[in-house]
Amino acid sequence: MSIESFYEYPAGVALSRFLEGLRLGRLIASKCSACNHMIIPPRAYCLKCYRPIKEYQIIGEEGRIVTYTRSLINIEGKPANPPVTWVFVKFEGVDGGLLHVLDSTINPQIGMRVRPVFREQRIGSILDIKWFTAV
Amino acid sequence: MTRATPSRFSPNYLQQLPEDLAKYIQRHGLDKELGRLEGWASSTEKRYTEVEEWQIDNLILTYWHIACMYRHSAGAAFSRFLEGLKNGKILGTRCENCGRVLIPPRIFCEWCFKDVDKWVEHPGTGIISTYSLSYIGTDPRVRFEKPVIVAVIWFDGTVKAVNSSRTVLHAAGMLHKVYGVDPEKVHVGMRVKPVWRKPEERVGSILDIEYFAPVEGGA
Amino acid sequence: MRKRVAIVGAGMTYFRSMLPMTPQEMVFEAARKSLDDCGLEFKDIDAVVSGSAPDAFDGYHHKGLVGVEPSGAYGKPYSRVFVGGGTGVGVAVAGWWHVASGAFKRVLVVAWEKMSHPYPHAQPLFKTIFDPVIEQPLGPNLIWIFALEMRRYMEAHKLSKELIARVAVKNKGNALDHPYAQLGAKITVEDVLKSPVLVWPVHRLDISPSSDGAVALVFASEEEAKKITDTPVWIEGVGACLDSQFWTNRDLAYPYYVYLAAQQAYKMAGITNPLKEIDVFEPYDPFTYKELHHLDALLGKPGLAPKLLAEGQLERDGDYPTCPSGGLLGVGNPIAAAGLMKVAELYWQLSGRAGKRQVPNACVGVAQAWGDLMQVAQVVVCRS
Repeated sequence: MSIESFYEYPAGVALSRFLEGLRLGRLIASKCSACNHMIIPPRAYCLKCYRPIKEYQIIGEEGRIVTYTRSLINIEGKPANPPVTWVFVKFEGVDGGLLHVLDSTINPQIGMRVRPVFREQRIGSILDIKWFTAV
Repeated sequence: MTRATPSRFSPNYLQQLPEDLAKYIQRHGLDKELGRLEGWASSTEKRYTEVEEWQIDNLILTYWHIACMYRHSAGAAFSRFLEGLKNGKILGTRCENCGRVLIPPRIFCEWCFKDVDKWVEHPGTGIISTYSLSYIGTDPRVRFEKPVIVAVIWFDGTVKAVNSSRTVLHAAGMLHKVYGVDPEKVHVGMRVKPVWRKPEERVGSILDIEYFAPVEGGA
Repeated sequence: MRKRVAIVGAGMTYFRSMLPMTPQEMVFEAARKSLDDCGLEFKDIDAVVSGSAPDAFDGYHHKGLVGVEPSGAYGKPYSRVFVGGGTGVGVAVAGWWHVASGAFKRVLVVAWEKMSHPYPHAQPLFKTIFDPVIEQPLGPNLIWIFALEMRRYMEAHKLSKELIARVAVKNKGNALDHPYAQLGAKITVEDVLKSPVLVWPVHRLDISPSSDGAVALVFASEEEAKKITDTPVWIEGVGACLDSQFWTNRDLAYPYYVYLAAQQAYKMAGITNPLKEIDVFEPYDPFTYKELHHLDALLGKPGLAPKLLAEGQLERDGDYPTCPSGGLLGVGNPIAAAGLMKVAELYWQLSGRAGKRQVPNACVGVAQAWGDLMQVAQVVVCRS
């Protein structure tokens, strides 16, 4: 028996803004007007005081690697050539962070300062960021 | 409220997507499909939320595709049942405690919580307990001109009824299709029997019974 | 010792065929409204119980987790309840356990569904409910089981399609007064009978629409409830029952398991004659006949519901108002959210907040949901 299905997800209130930001080559976080809490990826509601979010802000694109891993296999369990380095990047003064791929020529280190490299042709997708690279 | 314009597929989009998803989209012509985009657009046209801050100016859509293959083990009871079908026999089990004939068979009785290991053979004649006329396929967009008759068949001599009401407590029964009768004439209570595939075509599947057909001279 | 449990607040999103928000955002909207309704904050909540349909409808694993953040469940006990189509009322039953046990004082109960994710339709995913060994090879469609059950029910009580179609007319009409409804409409029996046949005897207008939406309720213990509101609605009884998965061995004419679940709830609530003692009925109505089929079992009298329908007694101004909300047929069917919407309707009806839908002097109500291979029953009885 097989199941094959296709899904279409609307990015919703907050992530539509985030993806639109990526299309324009910017990182967008949500900011609570009541308690100033900022988070990326942005939410439509504040995780501290649970009020709807009105404000979205462009943040500085420089962040730091919080943790990383090197994947030697791909999604099918076969050897990945070259291996892919996954990084979780946090940004100064902003809660949350982004999971993405690291420039394959860089040797990752925790605390390393990195920035996103945007593709030339962008469509409003997380893949509009090609990868993160060292500053 | 401003109308949001949902994002559209673009060649760029397909380039960025994982290969299998991009292929799926092209295979099904979804890159040219506009109906859903209009659907999302009209949903943002209407009032969609009571949270004032939640205006969406530019609704972005993303896509995902999953394909999974499953191999199910038929287990102890159904393996023997399928083996029986391959040999042109409908096999069931009988609970020695409550006397019920269990088709589809199981090796436990869920009424008595006892093991069941007595196997019985049934000729497969019975009545239509209920039926329906399916004008659509598993994919509801597929429409049949002539409906498929789908029925639950209750096997002769296995029905346990409650005298005080019309409710039947238990019957050995099976879901299958019925052919050889006009959809207008099929009815609850109609007598039917299995029509088997040729022995060399049987593989040990529920489809070894090709369909159920009315018993000649039956009401 | 069992604690008394009250519903003290409710909130819901619009039910729509394609809501542009994410499931997280829908959950937040419903949860925020339910807390605003009773003047509480997320920090006042001790535990969250959530419900949503199978992961296959969204295509990602353990989708219950999306409810954690927007329901404020950070650092609190959070669970996702799943009992198929019965989930919406099942989640209220589970919420009741949390408070009745004395373990929690204030519990947020939330259910949501996003049925517009699968493209082009959720229907092909529904077929995976059938047994993979002996049923799936036949190429089934989910509507088969409804059509088979409906035909058997019609046979048992000699019911006409014309009569059953009146359920759609009634519920879609009732939904005109529901501010969040997807499909409120003035239609006729003829409209139902002339709509396309999908799997006879089921026509398109016999079926509730697939939908997106979220509903949230706040439950509180007796002590807390009295501090929070002057108009608590008490959950006086709950019941749950499952029948065998071997559905071809059962008589589909009467959902005996619904009867058993209702009896559990009535016993707990001290109800001996539901026909006399219950003012508002919200049986599960994903298909027209299902309302009657379930009402038969809630009343414990096979074949009575169609008679009451024929006499006009199930109308909002009749003696036995049934689905005054508009039900799934009228308000919409975002599966788990639709079930919880019925419990929310009891809260609004019994606390006198149902607006244009208000049934006069409603004190006692019953809500019920149903699911899977015609085998799940979940029942809640409330009293003001």
